[in-house]
Amino acid sequence: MFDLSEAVKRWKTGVLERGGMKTEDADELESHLDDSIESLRISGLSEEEAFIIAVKRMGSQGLLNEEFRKVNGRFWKDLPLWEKKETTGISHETVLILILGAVSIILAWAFVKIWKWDITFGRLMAFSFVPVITAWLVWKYKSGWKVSLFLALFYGALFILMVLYPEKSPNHTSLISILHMPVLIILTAGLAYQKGRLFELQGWMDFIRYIGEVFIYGVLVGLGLLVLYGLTMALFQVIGIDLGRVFQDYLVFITAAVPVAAAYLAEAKRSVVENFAPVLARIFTPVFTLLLALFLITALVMNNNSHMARDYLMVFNVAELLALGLTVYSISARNHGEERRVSDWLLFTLAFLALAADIVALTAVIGRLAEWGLSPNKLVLLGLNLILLANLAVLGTGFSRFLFFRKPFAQIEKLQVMFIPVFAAWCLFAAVILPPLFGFR
Amino acid sequence: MELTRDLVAASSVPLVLSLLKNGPGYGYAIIRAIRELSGGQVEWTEGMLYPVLHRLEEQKLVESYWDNGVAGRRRKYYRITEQGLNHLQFQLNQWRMVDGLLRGGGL
Repeated sequence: MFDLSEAVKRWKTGVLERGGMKTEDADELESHLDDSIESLRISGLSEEEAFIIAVKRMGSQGLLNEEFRKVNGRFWKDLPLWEKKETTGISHETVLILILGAVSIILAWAFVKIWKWDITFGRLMAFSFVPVITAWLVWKYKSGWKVSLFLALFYGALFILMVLYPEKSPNHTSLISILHMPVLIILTAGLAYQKGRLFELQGWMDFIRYIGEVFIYGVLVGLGLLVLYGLTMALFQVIGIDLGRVFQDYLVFITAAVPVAAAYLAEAKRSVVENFAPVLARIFTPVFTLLLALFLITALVMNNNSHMARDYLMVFNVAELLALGLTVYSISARNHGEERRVSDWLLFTLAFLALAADIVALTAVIGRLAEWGLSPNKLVLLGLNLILLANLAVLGTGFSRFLFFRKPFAQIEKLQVMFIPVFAAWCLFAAVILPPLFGFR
Repeated sequence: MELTRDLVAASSVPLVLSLLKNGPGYGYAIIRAIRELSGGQVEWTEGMLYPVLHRLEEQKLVESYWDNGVAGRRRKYYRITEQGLNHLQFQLNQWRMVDGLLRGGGL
């Protein structure tokens, strides 16, 4: 005996099991099925016949789940990376990326061959992969010859400067260059990402998102590579071969290909996967906000600022950077039209607290700056601190306009994007202008 | 005359909003209405309609509610919102413009 309600129940369980759908969606579809069955029964079919036909008409089971999955935003499980309609083997782009990776590896090896593992190499390190990735972006996005020419000249000039700059101990300015040069050339690579439209807000927000994803993929691939390195060494150790020399002279340069791979992955997965950075940002924002709040309360209560030494300025720089990163990547995934939510208030609180914490630090430090005298390190730390402070202040203002005065969300993004050239200019100053100012010490 | 896939997809939002403008409705009824209005030419599937309805709800262009109705049949109804009405007008203007262009110039 055919039991209609039993059959419908079983069908519904099957639909839910295939995933991608909320219970409410399944209820809705069940209701639809019931209507369908009812209408078929009215035209004279039996319960069983009506059930079979109604289910058949609902379309292939998997397809339905697929459609719902897309709306509920969880289709990353289903789309493989190299899904191409043409089964003609490896696509052009994959070959290109492999070649570019090889180029990076060779460049890194060549740099070390010429400059050994010296400080100069440190300054040049980023040039082994960033220009390669930029070249790929220029090709992929057809950035135009003006952008290409500018980037080629700009990178070329920076490269030559970094080669020529002397090193005088204690090499503080060189260290500063080593840290700031990669950031500079990465930010400028954003020009290649814009497909020729250089002043569009969305393009630069996309670039910020892109960098975040590249970084995360880079970390993941890098960790994997590290494990591989360790395992390789250990394995060969077992049969009595010490790969230490081989590693140092050749294998270590494979690391230069990691950013290239990360850049490709981040781009390929762009429209398919929900971005990692915002997810991570969402997890860490509440924790970090709480931490800052606790710190501020403690600091104000204890009123013990005598410990504020120059080293602590570095700590605050890191805290500010983290707060900035969390905020920027949280907003990077946000839809414009959405109403104000708790997470927005949380971000506003974060920016505000980071700002407050930093001002607390600065007021304690400013007075002592005179006694310490000016040195490259202090200048850089202070400068970076002030820029981050400005950025957080601007974000805080943007958020308050959004939350309290109902200004559109896009103005926050616009403000953030305007800081990209500020950071780039700062990195240029720190990496290129600062060293000669301090006699390359 | 069957519509191309692109056209079905592009027209789905304005058609749904337009139907809901006349009063709240549920999925099955919407599909039936389109079928009847088009004389059987346009057959929407649940796989197409429900995601559209859910997206519209996400964008606050429609809102939903469950109704126990007659004979205890529970259905999820959708009704158009103020924003939805504005968006419908916007869509209608777009389609009228295209229609005008196709007819030869008069916008």
